[in-house]
Amino acid sequence: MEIQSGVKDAILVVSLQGMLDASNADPVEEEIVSIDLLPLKGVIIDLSGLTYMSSSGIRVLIKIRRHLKNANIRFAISSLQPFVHEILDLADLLNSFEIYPDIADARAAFTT
Amino acid sequence: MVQRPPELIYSVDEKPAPVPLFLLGVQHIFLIIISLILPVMVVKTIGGSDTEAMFMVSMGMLAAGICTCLQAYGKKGIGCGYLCPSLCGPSYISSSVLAAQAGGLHLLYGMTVIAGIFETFLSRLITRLRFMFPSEVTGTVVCFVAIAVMPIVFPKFLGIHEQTGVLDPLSLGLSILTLVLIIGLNVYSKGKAKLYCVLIGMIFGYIISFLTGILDYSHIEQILNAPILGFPDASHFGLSFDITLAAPFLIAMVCVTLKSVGDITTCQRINDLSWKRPDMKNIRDGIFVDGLGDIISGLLGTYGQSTSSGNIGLSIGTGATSRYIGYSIGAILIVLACFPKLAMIFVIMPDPVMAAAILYSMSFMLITGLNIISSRMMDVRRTFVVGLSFFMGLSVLMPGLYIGIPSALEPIFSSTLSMATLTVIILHLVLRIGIKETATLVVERQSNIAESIFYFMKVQGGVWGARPDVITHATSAIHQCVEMICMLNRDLKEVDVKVIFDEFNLDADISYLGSEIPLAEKRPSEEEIAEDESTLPELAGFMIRRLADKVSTTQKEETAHVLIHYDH
Repeated sequence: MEIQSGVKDAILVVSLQGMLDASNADPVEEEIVSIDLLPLKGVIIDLSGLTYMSSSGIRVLIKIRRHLKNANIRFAISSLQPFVHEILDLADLLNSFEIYPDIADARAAFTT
Repeated sequence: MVQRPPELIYSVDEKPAPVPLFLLGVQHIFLIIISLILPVMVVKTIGGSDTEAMFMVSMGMLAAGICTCLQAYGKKGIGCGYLCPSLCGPSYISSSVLAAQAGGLHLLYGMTVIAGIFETFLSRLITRLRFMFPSEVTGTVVCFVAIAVMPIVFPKFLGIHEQTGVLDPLSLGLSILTLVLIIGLNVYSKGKAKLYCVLIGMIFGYIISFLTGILDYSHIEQILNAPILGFPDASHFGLSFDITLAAPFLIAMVCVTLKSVGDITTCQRINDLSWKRPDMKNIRDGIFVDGLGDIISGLLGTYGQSTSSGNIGLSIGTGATSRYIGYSIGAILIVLACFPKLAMIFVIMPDPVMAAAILYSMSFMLITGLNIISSRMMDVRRTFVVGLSFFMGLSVLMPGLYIGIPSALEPIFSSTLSMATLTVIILHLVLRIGIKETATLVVERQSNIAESIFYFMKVQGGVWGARPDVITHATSAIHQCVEMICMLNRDLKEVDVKVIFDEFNLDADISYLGSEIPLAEKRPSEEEIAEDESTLPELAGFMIRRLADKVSTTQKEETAHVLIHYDH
C-alpha cells in the first residue's frame, strides 16, 4: 500500500494505491489521525488507485470519519473504483460517506 | 431470466406492426438475395443453362424462406426461435462445384441431402459437445464469419473489376456514399430513419446507380422480361449420390455447423443482457433446422443452406431482432420464388450498394465476436488459442499460399472461416489437456495474504476461462474469510483454500485447524465498528454472506470448513 498526501487550499488529499486490508489498515489510520488538523478545513481520501478493500479497510474509513467529525473537519472520499464502490454498497455504507467522482468535484464541494 | 437490452427497438418476442414488419423483412431480403449468386456460379462453372440457373435461384429462395420460418418457430425442438435467416451457404461452394462437375446438378442435390441428414444427427450430439465451445472458440468463429466475407465484398466495395483489376472511381464513390448514408442514419437519427437505415441507404444506392449509369435500361429490361409467375419445372428435380464426394460435403457441413453455433450464440447474446454462456439446447434446435434446410434444398433442387451472419449483423445494427421479422422474410422469399419479376428487382442490385450494406452489418458481427471472446478471463493458453487461430484464418487471404492443397481439403484451405474454425477447435482441445477442475492454495499467516489469494484466483480464473465478476467476488470472499480466520485464531500457521470450478459452479472450501467461525447475518452498527475492534469478524462474516451466493460452515473432527458457493 502506497500513501501519498498533500495539502492545498487547506484541504488535505490522501491518495491510496493498492489494496487496503488488515495488514496495512493501521498505517493508513495513523497517517491521518497523527496530522495537525488545525489549519485544515477538509480531508479528501482519493481512492482512484485502490483496487480492493476488506472489512479492515472499511473500519479504518469509519474511524477516520469519526475522528474528523469530532474535530469539525469535513471528510470525503473520491474516485472509487467499481469494485470498491460495490464493497461499500454491500456493506450498506454508501450513504454514510460523502462520495465524489473525482478530487476536483470534492474540492469544489468543500469550497461552496 | 432474460433481460431485454434497452437499445433494441424490437426484441425477439416483440411483434412489429404490419407495415414495419414488412419493411424490415424487405430490408433483410436484399442481403439474402446476394447469396443466390452462389448457385448461379455453380451452374455457370459446369456450362449449365440460364433456365437451370433461374430454377436453382427460385428453389434457393423457397428453401431459404421455409428454413427462415422454421428457425423463427423455436418450439418443440424445431428452430432456435430467433431472427436467424437462412441463405445459400458459402461453405458449400467448393464441394458443390466438385459434385456438379463430377456428376451434374442431380449429384449436387443428392450430396446436399446427405450433408443435411448428417447435420441433423450432429445436432442431437451438440449438447454433449459443450466443452468444445467455450467463449474463445465461439467468439473466434463469430469474428471470422465477418472477416471471411471481406475477400468477396471488399473488391466490390472498391469497385475493382474482376477481370482487369482496375478500380472504378464511380463504383467506389457509390459504395462510400451509400455506406456514409447508412452509418449517418444509424448514428445520428432516431426512430424510423435509424430502423430502416440500410433499406434507405440501398434505395438511395439504386437511385444514384440509375443517375450515374451503373444501372441502365438493360437492367430494367431484365425486370420487364422476367415472367410474372413462375412455378417449378419438375424436369429439374432428381437426386444421385457418390460416396467419394462424402468427405468434402461432410467437411463443409462441419464448417457450416460451427458457423451456425456462432450465429445462434450471437442471437442469444444480443437478445439478453444477462447472457452468460451459449444455451446448447437452443443451439441444438437451430442446427437441426440447418440440417433440415439442406435436406429441403436438395429435395427442391438447389444449393445447401446455412444461417446468415450478415442478416444477424443487420438486426444488431438496426436494433430489430424480433423473430416475427423471420416470418416476414420467409413469406416474402416464398412469394418471390413464385414471382420472378419481383425477384429480379433484388437480383439487379449493384455491387457497390450490396458491398456497403454488408460492410456495415459485418462490423457489428466482428465486434460481437470480440465481445464474446473477452467475456471470460484469459490466460496464456486461451491467448494462443485465439491468437494462432486468427493468424491461421488470415493466412488463407495470402494469395497462392495453399495452392497445392488436395481438392478434398479445399473447403478448409480455401476458406478463412473454415481454417480459423478448425484451428481454434483443435488448439482448444489440445491445450485444455492438463487443466484441472480443482486448484488448491496453502495460505501462510506470515505471508502477504491478499497478494497470494488474489494472484492465485487471477491465474485460475484465466485457466478456467471463468466470468470476471464471479472471480472478483469469490476472491474478495475468500480473502475476507482467511483474514477473519487469522484474526480469531492467533496461533494458526496456515489456512488451506481449495477451489473447484465447472462451467456452472464455483466452490471454495476454506479449511483450518480450529473451530467454526460465526458468520453474522446482521452488520454491526457504525458506532460499534468504530469503537470496538472485536466487531471486525462480525463485519467480515456479514460481508462474506453478501459477496457469496451461498455460504456455510462445518466441523470435521479438528478441522473447520467454510464453504462458499457461486452460481457461474
